[in-house]
Amino acid sequence: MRSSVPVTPGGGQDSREVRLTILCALARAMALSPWTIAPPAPSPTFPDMDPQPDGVSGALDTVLTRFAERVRYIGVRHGLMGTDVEDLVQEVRLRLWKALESGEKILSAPASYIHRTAVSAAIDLLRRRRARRETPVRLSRPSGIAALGESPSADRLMEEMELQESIGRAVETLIPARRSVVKMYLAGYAREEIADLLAWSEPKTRNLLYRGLADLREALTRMGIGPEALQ
Amino acid sequence: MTDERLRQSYDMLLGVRSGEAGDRSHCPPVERLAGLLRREEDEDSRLALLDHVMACPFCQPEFELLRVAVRASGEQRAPDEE
Repeated sequence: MRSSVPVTPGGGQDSREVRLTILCALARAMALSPWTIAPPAPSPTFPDMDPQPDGVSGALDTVLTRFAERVRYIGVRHGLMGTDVEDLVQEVRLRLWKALESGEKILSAPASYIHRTAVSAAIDLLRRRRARRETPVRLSRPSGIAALGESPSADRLMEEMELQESIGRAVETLIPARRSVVKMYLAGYAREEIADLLAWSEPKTRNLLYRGLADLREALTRMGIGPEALQ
Repeated sequence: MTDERLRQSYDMLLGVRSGEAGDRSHCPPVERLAGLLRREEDEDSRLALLDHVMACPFCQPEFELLRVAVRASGEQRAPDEE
């Protein structure tokens, strides 16, 4: 959703209190001190927003901008394309402004509010895409095509495709624990990330990964693909 | 064959698969993907789920989007955030 959101938060002590609570939640969630938030700035995203006399809206927008920058920064590192990142930012933005508008009370710990909002926004975004049968955007990790040169020959391309298929088949022959770890590794995950997701110790993860990669190379060798393949 | 070469080929394989007709009848619901990040299921289930996600050109970017949402919103144990 890219259009600006009409926001006319109600006045009064309750509304201001809710705004301040959300502001503090955002600041704490991003490890900022609420007292270091920059002065309010004009909002290009919500041009129709009523200026608030206490500057809360401007400050909130500043913090939202920080959140957006953080999403973009981390998103790029995770290989996400711009569309995914921007959709997530807009979804979170929309939810927070709706909360402001409705004067929704935040009962949980402030630091967890933005966290829950962001995760539920992402889940809903993905649900809607699935309902519309939208194809997810491909991760923008470096492609091996470039490593092959500017104009690989047809033979070279065919060999590469066969190698890809062989790797895909070989991975599936691994035992389950090693297979999942190897797939994560091949998909670009660092050992620490794999350990974190599986709640494993670093030595256990390292052990399973190394054994899994060794099994993978053995399986490839059995398929006639040796260490020199398409170097 | 180096690890990097294996990764490149695997990445391209997923790229090829993403261009094929997308049958998502075997894909887990979004809630289970999010549950992976909260370690909601037992280890065997998590392994099976990750096994699918890491080989599925549709689920993988969805899973990454969820990870980004978690990390950008202040999740503390992200190892590569800084």
